[in-house]
Amino acid sequence: MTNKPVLKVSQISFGYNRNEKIINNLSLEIYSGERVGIIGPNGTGKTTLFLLISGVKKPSSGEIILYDKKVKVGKFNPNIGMVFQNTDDQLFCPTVWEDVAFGPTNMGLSREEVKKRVNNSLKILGIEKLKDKAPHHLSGGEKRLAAIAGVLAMESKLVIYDEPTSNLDIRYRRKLINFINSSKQDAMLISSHDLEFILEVCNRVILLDEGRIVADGKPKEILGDENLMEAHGLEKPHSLIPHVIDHHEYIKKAE
Amino acid sequence: MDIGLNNLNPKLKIIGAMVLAFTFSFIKSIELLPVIFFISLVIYYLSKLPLSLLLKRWIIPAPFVILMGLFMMFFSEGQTVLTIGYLSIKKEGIYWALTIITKFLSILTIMVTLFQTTHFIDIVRALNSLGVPAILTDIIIFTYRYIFEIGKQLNKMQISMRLRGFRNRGLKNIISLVSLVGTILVRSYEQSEKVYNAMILRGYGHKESVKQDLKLCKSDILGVFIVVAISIGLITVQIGLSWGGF
Repeated sequence: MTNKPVLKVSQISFGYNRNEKIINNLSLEIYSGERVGIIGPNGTGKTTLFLLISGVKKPSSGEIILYDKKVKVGKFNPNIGMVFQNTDDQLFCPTVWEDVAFGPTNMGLSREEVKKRVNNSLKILGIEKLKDKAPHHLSGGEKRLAAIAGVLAMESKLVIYDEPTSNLDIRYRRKLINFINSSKQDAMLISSHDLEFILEVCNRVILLDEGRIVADGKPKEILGDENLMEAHGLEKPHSLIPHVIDHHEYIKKAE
Repeated sequence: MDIGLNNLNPKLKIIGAMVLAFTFSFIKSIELLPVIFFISLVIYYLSKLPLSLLLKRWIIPAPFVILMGLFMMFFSEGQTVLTIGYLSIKKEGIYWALTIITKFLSILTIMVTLFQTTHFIDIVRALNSLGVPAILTDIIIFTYRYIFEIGKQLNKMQISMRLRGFRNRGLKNIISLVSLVGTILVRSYEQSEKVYNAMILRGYGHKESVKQDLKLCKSDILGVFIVVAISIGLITVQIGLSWGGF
């Protein structure tokens, strides 16, 4: 881990109207090699935070520095990639190949380089056979992988995954875990309600509630703190509950 | 050499179809009507598409064309051929009806061939490379992409309504139906904003989109040559017939 943060968020606030604050004076630093899980109850500002970091929305106060440069709202920055929660928002091209090529083409790369990156991304995710398919003909899992391929082809240093496991079956969930664990992206921000997934892929967890960071630390320490989790509308992951105590109430009753 | 229409360059197909459509619309002599109809059928035959498909495409606008033909037969000025009650069929009316129906079917056949042998997206891209602004072709592509999503959403909402006891009772359900349409509109608007954000994040507008290359092969050149030759031939004969030279 280097001393200089990849991403520095300084005292940002944001609200959709004057009276509310979705993000409230939030500061955060992300370093190279970190895979940060952002957890918290619904409506706590996770997606809004991602939109602020990626420069889609403008904070009402504070500033965001990404790789020593201030994030400019509405400007294209290939250093940051985002995989949206709803993949239909992201897969807007007529075919998967074109969608994956969209980012690299806009980066001004040569046709050969675009082709190389697209084919490579599709290969890494094992979806080469989908390249000519229309996005609306894909399954939920295939759409998710195609959306990831689109960001992967841009070779962004910081990648944001917003609820990447939503609508995924066990097989695609496992594929995603294997991909994230083997990926070479500089840093990642991952929001998810799937806490077991967070435990498997993240090396740092931030608990967000009402637009503020309420806990920041190692995944097992944060997720394993039952009182902390319950205080913020979450549950301790099943895998962190010792199985010496029979907590499977349904099975116990059935027996 | 393969002169099957499916492999021709989409850009040239559009040019060819437009040239033929304008040529067909220029034809006025009744002697040339069977010729243009025959040419359109030959082109359709070369596309190797089933005849049943063409008949299906003809049936959709047929009532309107027949109605227009009947109107012309009865209400044109000229020599009466047959009288039915208060109505009389005019010779010139039959001529105009035949002209309109034949031209319409011939042009429709050419357009069916174009759209059935070329993917819709390739047509849109070819239009872009022919000079149609990217913003327009992008809008067409996005409409094509998201119309399916909106259709799916509408279908799900209708199922949800039916499962909760909704029965279509005409105007009595007008509020529910208006809510359905309103929700679809609001959702579409919100989704369009999200899609735009996703596009900006991946550099939309950062660099001009690259237009498709026009790589011509022998069959493309032959195809264009045949179409242009047919058009010049038809127009020459038409001018000759108009001047009474043939």
